[in-house]
Amino acid sequence: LDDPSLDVDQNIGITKARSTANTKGLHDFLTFRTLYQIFGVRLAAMAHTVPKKKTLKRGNLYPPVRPSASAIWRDRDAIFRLHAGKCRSCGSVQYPPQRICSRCKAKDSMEPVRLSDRKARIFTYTLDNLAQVPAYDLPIVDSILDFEGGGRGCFLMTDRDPREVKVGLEVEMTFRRMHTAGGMNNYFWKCTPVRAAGREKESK
Amino acid sequence: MESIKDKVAIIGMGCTKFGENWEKSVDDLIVDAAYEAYQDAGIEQKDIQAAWFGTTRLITGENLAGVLKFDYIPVTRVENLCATASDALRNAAFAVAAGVYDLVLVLGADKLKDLGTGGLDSAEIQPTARVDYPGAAPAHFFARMATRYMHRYGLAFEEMKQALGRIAVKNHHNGALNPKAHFQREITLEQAVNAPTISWPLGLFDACGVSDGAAAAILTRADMAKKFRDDYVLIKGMGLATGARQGFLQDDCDMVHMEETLRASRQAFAMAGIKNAFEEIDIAEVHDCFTITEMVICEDLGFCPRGRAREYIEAGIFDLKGKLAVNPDGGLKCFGHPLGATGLRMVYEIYKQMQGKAGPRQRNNPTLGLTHNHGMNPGSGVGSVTILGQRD
Repeated sequence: LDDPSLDVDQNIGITKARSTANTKGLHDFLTFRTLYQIFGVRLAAMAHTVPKKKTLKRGNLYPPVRPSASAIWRDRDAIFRLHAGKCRSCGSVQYPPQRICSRCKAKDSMEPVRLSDRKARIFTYTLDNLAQVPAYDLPIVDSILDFEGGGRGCFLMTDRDPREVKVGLEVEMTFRRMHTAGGMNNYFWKCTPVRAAGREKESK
Repeated sequence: MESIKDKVAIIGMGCTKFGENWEKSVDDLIVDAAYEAYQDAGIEQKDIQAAWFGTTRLITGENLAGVLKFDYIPVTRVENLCATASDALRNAAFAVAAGVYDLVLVLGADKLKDLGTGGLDSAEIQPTARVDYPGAAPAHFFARMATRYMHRYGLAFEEMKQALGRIAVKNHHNGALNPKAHFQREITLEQAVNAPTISWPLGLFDACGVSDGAAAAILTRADMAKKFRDDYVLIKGMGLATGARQGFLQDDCDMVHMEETLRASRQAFAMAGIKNAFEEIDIAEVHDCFTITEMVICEDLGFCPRGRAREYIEAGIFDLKGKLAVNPDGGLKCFGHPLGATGLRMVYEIYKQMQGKAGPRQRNNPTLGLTHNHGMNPGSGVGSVTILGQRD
């Protein structure tokens, strides 16, 4: 890693690659060499590396609020399972799930649809250099996604090279820690570019 | 549904200097704006029968009464995002039009510099992840619109930056002519285009000032206005539209227009009897929180065809001396943006222009003016349009 503020811990080499629909192993990540440094910075946050100093002064303009266990519990399906609602009356998919359908106004007509294993495309995005959210690597990529099969959502992008981000880019969802405050982690989904090309190479 | 047209008159206005008013509290700003308005209308505070107070901070109607020392008159606090002051004006105008009150005060004030940051509070820092828009700061809403606008109309990044830069140059030029503006310096197109990126594709000069300020208006019934002055200004139409998160919930929302603005303008144009906004309106104060917002607003209000704002901007049609002056007082970009005061600050400029008191920014006898606000995301916010006209 080029960043002098980071020391790589010995354990980084033996992290096991997990392979599920939504999770890439470390080996998969490291296949994309242009992103190596970005991953290193991210991994620092995962305690594989030891930050010698705070890497960024910006990104913490407001102290994060302690996550509310009751609020997270109520919204657990939308937050952890990334469930959207599909209207039984008009068929449209909406995230987060709504009591009243945005299109046909039907009340309590939504059935859950899981978006976490669906691919999506970037509808539009911005690269924010002055993000007010806790950030390890700027710019923050804030994107609006259109999911396969319908539904739109607004997600931060991770494990990305800002230069590759463009309208129409295909992404998949990945479960991440958003911030920690008061000893509690706040988890949510981010999106990350689909690395299909790299995987094909791997299989050969 | 009845029209508000020609029922309510503005007979006095006040506006503080906007900007970094470190030496003034929000109380000071309220007093300064209110007393300028009283003096302008030639009234005393005891004549005021009711008041509406627009602010986005955590202060209430009690603050307005407490600061000005009203004698137990009704005070209503209004909050409606960036349209806060315009909505306070709207509610006050309806009360006057209903004949309930003869003389009322509308005042908007916000003090943002005490926050200690350059931008506004982020929506992110919430007890849970915000599943609807995580991490979004105001710049994101409009930067994402700019990205989509480029994609939709096939503009190269450089072309977009030139067009947006041209808006910043125009509004800085107008602001430089305004002693009450937050920023009073001209900039060059090169400075605008090459400024540091804030939220790509938007740079430093694409963003408005975050300011302290207050503005106030005194309203009366149109048939009583002549008792106070000859050059009063009449409300011709008012529209307000609130999005229901369609921008995020409906995946066919194009994000290169703001439906709230469109709907609010339809309401206001219908009341005012406006058929062709570009031909009929002389001056417009629109919500240029970011340069891209002004670009899209001009299309939404019908000042130019969709996707062609760039041509109109670069041809100087919206310049101070152009066919339709957009943001002659410098706009949010340079006059500044204390959210709760902005709508009334816009009305202040139209009012002064119609009275021929706009100094070096004076247009040649404008008869019909427009003010516009937009708050939050396209399809998930509020739009407000007010039409003002000279008497007779």
